[in-house]
This record gives sequence, structure tokens and C-alpha cells, in this order.
Amino acid sequence: MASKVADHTLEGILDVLETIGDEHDIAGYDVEYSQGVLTLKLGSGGTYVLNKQPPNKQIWLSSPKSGPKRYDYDTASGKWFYARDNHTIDEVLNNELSDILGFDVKLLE
Amino acid sequence: MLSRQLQRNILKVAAAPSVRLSLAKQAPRVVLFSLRTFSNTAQKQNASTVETLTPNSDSLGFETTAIEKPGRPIYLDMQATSPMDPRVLDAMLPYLTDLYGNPHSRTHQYGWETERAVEEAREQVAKLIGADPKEIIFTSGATEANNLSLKGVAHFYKGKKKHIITTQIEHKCVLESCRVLQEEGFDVTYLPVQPNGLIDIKQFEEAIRPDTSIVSIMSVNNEIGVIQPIEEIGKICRKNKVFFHTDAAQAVGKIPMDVNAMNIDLMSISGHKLYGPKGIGAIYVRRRPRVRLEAVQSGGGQERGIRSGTVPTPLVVGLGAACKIATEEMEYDDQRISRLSKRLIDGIQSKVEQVVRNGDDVHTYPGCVNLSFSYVEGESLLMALKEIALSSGSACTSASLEPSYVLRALGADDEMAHSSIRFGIGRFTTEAEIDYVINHVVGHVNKLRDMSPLWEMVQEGIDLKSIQWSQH
Repeated sequence: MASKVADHTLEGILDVLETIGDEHDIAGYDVEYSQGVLTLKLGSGGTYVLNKQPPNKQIWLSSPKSGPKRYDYDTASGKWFYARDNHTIDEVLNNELSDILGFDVKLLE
Repeated sequence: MLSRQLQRNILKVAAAPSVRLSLAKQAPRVVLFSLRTFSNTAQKQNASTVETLTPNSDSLGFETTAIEKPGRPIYLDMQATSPMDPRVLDAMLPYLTDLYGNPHSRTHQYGWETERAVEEAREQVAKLIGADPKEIIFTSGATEANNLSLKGVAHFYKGKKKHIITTQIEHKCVLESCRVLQEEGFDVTYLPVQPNGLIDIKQFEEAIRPDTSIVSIMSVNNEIGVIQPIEEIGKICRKNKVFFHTDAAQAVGKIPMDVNAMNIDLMSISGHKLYGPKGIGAIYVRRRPRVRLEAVQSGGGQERGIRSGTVPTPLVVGLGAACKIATEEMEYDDQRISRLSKRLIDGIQSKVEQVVRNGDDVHTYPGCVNLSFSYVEGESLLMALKEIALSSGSACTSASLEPSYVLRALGADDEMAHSSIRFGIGRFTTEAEIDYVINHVVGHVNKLRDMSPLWEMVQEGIDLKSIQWSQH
């Protein structure tokens, strides 16, 4: 169940990232999603890796800006949040990517 | 070049592991291969025998002496398959002997070195067609690539787009895939071709509907060699936001193909048509704008999840090497083959009358010459030309007695379709071979026509279409 939600989240993020890649010409941009691992290369901006962690029912994020984070799913709000300070995965990704790419990025609704 | 005896001995010893190690370090080309000669086994198969068959009472008094000359027939069936370039074999050998790791093994050197070779080959293939290496996926051949393109794209977009356009002269695998999709509920338009083999661009544009998902038109036809107007088709497809797939198995490495200049979204590549190994091919899948496909083969997610399965390193390296050689030698090969092709056509048409070339004169790949000899049956001519390896129509339909559907689509009547022979000229065809072929073809055509009652009637001026044949 949680695995399916994780899949759905990552696929949603993948869609948005692919559209960004199609619409904007960013040097070194590459997004790949296979075997439950989403890799986003931003050239000089670094590489983001998002992957499912089925045993813990989490999504793990590796960010070149803010390092590693682990997100749990909150069924009530339908969001993935970081247990230590309760920020959501959308917030951190939207902020960091908007910063690196220079335009507004909204990964999930 | 080493002597035959030495080669034989080396082949015997080469299997020993200790020798293999040292062999892998030397340049294999010196040891194992001299250009286009054959191993001991192949020679034995061609040992000459002389056999005389005494006639029986109903053989009309003909006595036949079958003398099998040593050596193998001249190979002029390049569209069926092509001999492997020795340089390709050289590139493959280390991966067939010493470097046998699985390219997906991430934890040891065996995996890393083969992965590097696979990625290098990918770049070589991409360079040949003007693509990005990330857009090349290795498959088992063009048939798999065609299936993947059509079924993959059709299934992915089946929610909103239900229409597919293709032509009547496509390869069997494309037509079969379309037929299967039709049975699943898709609409397929099979575009007719003009008598010269080219599609009518206007007719094609009119066939596009708002719900068309993919157009599949082959670049070079395998039976008649005709080259479709790929650039124009690509432009129209891009304008109408329809995916354009082309089966370029016979085109890649022979005519310049550029996926960006020609607006191609998907392309099928076949290894053994460009002097590479059999059993390998590739599919080009465009990333910008992205083409989405549903994978047909499920598994460990290799090749970006589009085609699971261990990538066969030796074959892939062979394909890469073949593409690299093609990039470098395409122009030279083209000039040479054009010259030989002209020599062949002029040679035959000047000495024999009523020979028709199937397919357009200008927009045809010179290495594929399909000729129809009126009043001569194709199969009997092929049988007579024992020392030349030819084909009438395509290899995949040669088992059935039906005349080629490609020739039928050109509007050729059945007699002309039955009397067609396809000459395939390639990188290793020599002028001497072409001259030999001209002489023999001319000789046998004349002999067969002498025997033909239809030819006699035509010479007397009788219109064959006016004859009422009696039924049995």
C-alpha cells in the first residue's frame, strides 16, 4: 500500500521533471527513473536522488544542497514529511530546484 | 597472412585456456582471420564432385552432368543479410573470450569493463544517426525494435489515440504488429504506393487524423530498395504532433540518416544488415520531445526499463564497430556501390530486352536492384544461376509460393511479380563478380526465353492478354 503511494509520488515528480526538461534547455539536465530510483542530474547544480525504501515505508532523498533526508507518509494530509522538523518533501524540492534552475518549480500539488 | 596449415593449427590450439589468455593480448587480426577466406570446415563442404545422371525414358533425352565447382556461390543477397566485416569480428573477439563479464554487474571489474564497452558502442551507434547515446536502446534486432515501437507507443497512448498509419510495402513484422493492434481495436491505415514505390505525400497528409498516434514508414524498402521521402514525412508528422517511426534496417549505414534533420521520433536498426553480427539491433527513442513507450519485455529494468534483459556485450560491441566503420566509409561505399549497380543494370539491359527495374530510378538505394525479366519465371532463373546467391522477393516470404506483396502493391501484374530477381550489392562485391553475374544472367535468360512458348508468341506479335486459356 505504502509502496503504491510512493510509486505514485515518484511518478508524479518524474512527470513534472520531464516536462521541465522538455520545455527548458538546461545544460547537463537528465532525469531517469528505473527500479524505484529517481535520479535527477542538473549539470553544475549537482545530482538529486530520490528512492523508495519499502521496508521503512519511506522515501529517501539525497540533495546536493541539503544532504540526506528520510520522509514518512502522512495519510491524513497525503504528504511526505520529515519527522525531525515536519517539513514536507514538496517544500524542500520546490525551494531548492527553483533556486538552482532560476524559475518557479512546483513538483507536487 | 598466415598459411592455411598454420591457421588450422592455431584454430585447434586457440581453445586452450592458457593460449586464450595470451591470444587476447595480441591483435587477433594477425592470428585468426585473413580477409574473406574460410575455415577448414567450410572448405570440406565444398569439395568438388562430378556426378553424371543417366536419363530415364521421360527426361526427353537430356543428359545432365552435375559438376560442382569448388568454392562458394557469389553472394548477391545483401538485403537478406551481409557478411560480417573482419574489423567487426576483431572488435568482438576480446568480449567472446576474455572479457566475459555481465555489463550490469556493478561490483567488480568484469562488469565495469564490459559496461564501458557497451556505453562506447552506444555512442558509436548514436553518432551514425545523429542521436544522443541516451536515446539508443539495444534490442535483439530490427524486428524487436519495430514491435516495440508500434505496440509500445500504441498501448501507451491508447486512451486518446487509436489510429496508426503505415504503408502497404512495410516489412512483415510491421504489418503483423499492425494487424495484431487492429485486432485489439486500433484503426490502421495502410497507405498504397505509386507504381514507382513511393508514397503519395498528399495522400499521406490527408490520412492523418486528430487521433493518430504513430506513423510507421520504412526508409529503404528491403525488396525494391526504394527510398521514401523521409524528411518531408518527418516535417508533416512534426506539424501534426504525430510520432514518426521509421524502419531503417536497410538504410542505416548506407544512406545518411539524421534523426533531427529528418524529424524522426523512433527508428529501428538492424546489426546484420550493416556488416555487423546477427542477433543484435537497436531502437532509437527520442527524448526531446519525449516519446513514451510501454515496454514489451519485462524484467530487471535494463536499458532504461524499455528492454529488460542482459545486454549481450560481444554483439553490442560488434554493432558499435559496424556503425563506426559505416560512419567512416559510407561515402566511399556509396560511390563504389553506385558504380557497380549502374554497371549491372546497364550490362543486363543492354544485352537483354524487356527487363524492367522495379522501383523508382532515382530514389532507390543503388545496392538493391530488383529486376523483372518478362516471360521468364523467377524461380527457374534462380535455379539456373546456381553459382550466384540471389533471391526473388524477400527472404521472409520465400517459403510461400505467393508473389511478393511489395511487387503486388506496385501494381505489377502476377507474371511480372513472379519473374523478379533481387540483386544485392555490398561493400565486398567486386567488379569481377558483377561481370560474371551479367554474363550468366544474360545467358540463362536467353536460354529460358528460347524454351518459352510465351516468348515465341510475343515475338510473333500475338497479344498475350487476348488469349483465352483453357481451364483444367
